[in-house]
Amino acid sequence: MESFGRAFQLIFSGNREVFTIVFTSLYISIISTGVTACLGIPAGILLHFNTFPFKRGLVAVINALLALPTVVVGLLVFSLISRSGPLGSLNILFSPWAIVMGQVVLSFPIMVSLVYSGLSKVDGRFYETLVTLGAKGRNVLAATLIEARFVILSAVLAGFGRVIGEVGVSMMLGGNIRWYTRTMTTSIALESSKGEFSQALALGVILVTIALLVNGIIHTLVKER
Amino acid sequence: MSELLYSIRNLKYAYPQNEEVVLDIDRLDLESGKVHVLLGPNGSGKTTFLKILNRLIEYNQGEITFMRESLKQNKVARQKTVYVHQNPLLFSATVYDNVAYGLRIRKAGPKNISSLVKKTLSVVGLEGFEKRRSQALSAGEKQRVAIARALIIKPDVLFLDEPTASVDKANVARIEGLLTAIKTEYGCTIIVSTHNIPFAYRVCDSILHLEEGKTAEPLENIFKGELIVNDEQFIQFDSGKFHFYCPYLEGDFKTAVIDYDRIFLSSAPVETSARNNVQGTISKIETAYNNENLVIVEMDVGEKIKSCITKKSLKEMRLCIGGRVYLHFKASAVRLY
Repeated sequence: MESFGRAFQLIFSGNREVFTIVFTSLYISIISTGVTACLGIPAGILLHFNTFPFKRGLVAVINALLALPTVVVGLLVFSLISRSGPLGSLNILFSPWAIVMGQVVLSFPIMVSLVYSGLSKVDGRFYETLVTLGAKGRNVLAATLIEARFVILSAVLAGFGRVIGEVGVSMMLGGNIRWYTRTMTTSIALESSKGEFSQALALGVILVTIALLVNGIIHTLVKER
Repeated sequence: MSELLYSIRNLKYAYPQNEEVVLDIDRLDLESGKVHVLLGPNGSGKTTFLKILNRLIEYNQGEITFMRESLKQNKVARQKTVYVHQNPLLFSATVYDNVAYGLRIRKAGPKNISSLVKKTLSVVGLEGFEKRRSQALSAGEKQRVAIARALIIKPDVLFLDEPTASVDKANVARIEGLLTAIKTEYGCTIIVSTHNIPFAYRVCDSILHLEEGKTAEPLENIFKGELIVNDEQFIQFDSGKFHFYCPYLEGDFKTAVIDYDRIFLSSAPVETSARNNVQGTISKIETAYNNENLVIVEMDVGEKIKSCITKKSLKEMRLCIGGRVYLHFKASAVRLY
């Protein structure tokens, strides 16, 4: 109970370190979600509209990647951007950009899969209606994006939810450096291992609030459809 | 003046996933400016046929021409024919956005779009519905918004797939009135599929039966007109050029149907119990398409009317084109819709 009291004190007193950690988490997650959206939404749309050999196999692989462990992603990207790796010259290991890179790899399959499955659920009459009214390729794409806007937004928010709450990638690629790459999740892991539960709890409360907020938005959007 | 719109020859269609032939039409011509009704039970191939004519489905055997050009790759057919689903799907947007869609993709100006949306909504009886969300509409209203969305691009052909299937009685009457308004206002050809028999007869200019993918021209005379009460006991149907006795029924009937085989012929006046005894001139004699022993005799009685008799009767009565003949049919032989 005492730890809870101190946790709320840290939040409401505007503790600088706590809010720096929250800010770092948010800006890294927002950037990685933005980058993933730019790549994942077009990929999901292309996957939906195109037919090619082994498409079903590719969809199965993407769906399997939804369960990708964060530490595996961390390990994979680590091997790419470490000094001896093929992207070592970028010198981004243990920087926020390394975390962004890992989180993009982590959330890309989520966004592709959700956009693809969301578009697959659009009623078959929708395309027939567009075509019969004279819509051509570009019109069909634009109308589909508008019609599936809630599905796409839900996919983006789900991707954000995944990266804001992950710990493996941030820890392995960011190094949990104070005032630089320390995020809410890595900080919670560190503080709780040190026995400093008040800061861990304060960050936990903020993280859960953000997660609930994102889920609330997704729920509202789905309901509005 | 009606022109040949669609000409269909030896059309056979089977869905790729199932080799069973769902459409098998040897020969069919559809004229422009009319309301053609496809009447048939569920699963008879009506929807498939409409989708083929609208190029939503590519046919794999036979030939179809649209305005005397092959339907395949026909760009005019793509731009000037619109299909409205049985349960139309409206975009998740306002009624205005739904109706305006066809004009927006054709790059019409906003002022033009706004005035045309207003006008089209008034044609379908939905004035003031512009700002309503599509999800908040009833089935009948959705149907009319879908029709407005199709009409706004002024199509040459409007395909309506079972427009009365999911609407209540009041909306069926509205759709009937709407078809007449569309024909008058837009002059387009309407091809409607339905299994609602009264609706079919009331709206049709021509009717076609479709069963298990095969078309059959019904052997019946269809007259459009109104009922006139002569006295307390009898009622007549007046098509404008021809009037005849029919059963006494109460209601707003606009169509009278008499089967070919309910009209019998005589070469001289005879006294019969039939209420309708008329003299006519034979204008055409042709063999029935489904039975070589029968002939269809077309007569002019002010309107064209047809009767079906055997070849033997034709020979014995010495009927020929231009000859005089007497037609007899009972009032009860007339079906009213």
